Amino acid sequence: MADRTNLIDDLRNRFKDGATPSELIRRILSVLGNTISYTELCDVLQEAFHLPVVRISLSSTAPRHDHRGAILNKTLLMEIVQRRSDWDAPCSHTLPVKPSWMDCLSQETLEDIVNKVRAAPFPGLSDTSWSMLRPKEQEALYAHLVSSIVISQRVEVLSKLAERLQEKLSERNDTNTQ
Amino acid sequence: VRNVPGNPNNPNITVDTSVTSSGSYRAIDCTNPNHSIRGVLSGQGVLEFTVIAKSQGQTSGVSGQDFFAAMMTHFGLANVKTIKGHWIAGLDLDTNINQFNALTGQGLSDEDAAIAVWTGQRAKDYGFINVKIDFKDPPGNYPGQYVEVIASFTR
Repeated sequence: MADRTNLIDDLRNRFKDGATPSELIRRILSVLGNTISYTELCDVLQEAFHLPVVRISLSSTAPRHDHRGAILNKTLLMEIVQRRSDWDAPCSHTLPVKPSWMDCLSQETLEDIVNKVRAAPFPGLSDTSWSMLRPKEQEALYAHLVSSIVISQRVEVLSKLAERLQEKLSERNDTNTQ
Repeated sequence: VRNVPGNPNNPNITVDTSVTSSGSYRAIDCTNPNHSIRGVLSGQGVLEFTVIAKSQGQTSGVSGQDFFAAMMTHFGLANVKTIKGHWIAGLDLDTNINQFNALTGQGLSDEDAAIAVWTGQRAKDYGFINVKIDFKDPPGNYPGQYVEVIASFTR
């Protein structure tokens, strides 16, 4: 149990330091061994980041370790960021949460965005224009707007992560040249 | 709901009681532990799940329909307000997104395609016939070329 708790803490710290989902999966496999099942792998990620459902490749535990990193950076990484307030609690009441590349990023979920978009007038359309649209057309516009907001947020998250990874690379280069 | 396909009492379904609760369901196919269903029901009644009942070169003792029926029995139909489908291409969990792309590529609307894919059909079995597309990547109209779709099914 202590090992599992240590692994969970380790995964959270690594993510806060810039590890991508594929790197987290590699770490889990290196700690728990390559014989870990797909279900166990999902369990660890689910527990570490309070995810309701984990969607990763079935081949993640295969000998070739097919993590499909780029896809997970668009999907799983976002879900982990959105749930930060659930898994990144301060160590004690007196200590603040350790800073990370995720600071200042929006943690709105898809549901939050859907609700916000539907509660406000559609941008760029008058009430009259909106009311002239058929319900199906209105739904299509809602889906389009929500999708655009979600993808814009993803770009923001990936931009921050790219900068963090560049920092790490620079730190490593500095160390190597000293 | 009458004549729902799938056998929730399939004897090969083994429920993982260590993680199953009123808001969570986990079960495996005891003839092939690589096949499983994992479902979560939120406080607002939104059901999310992943199910794996087929894999290359492996036999199955539980169909996806059986797993789904067992999960719905566990949560109780009255408690499920929304079934959420989250379909991503390229992760081996491709059944729904491949079907969605094939159907939109043939000219079906997003909504009609969503109800016709595997999850849409399971939702329909239980009376969840209203579908709403919440998210598409790429946004806009790209029939047959979506890499990610999120759809909500309600009664």
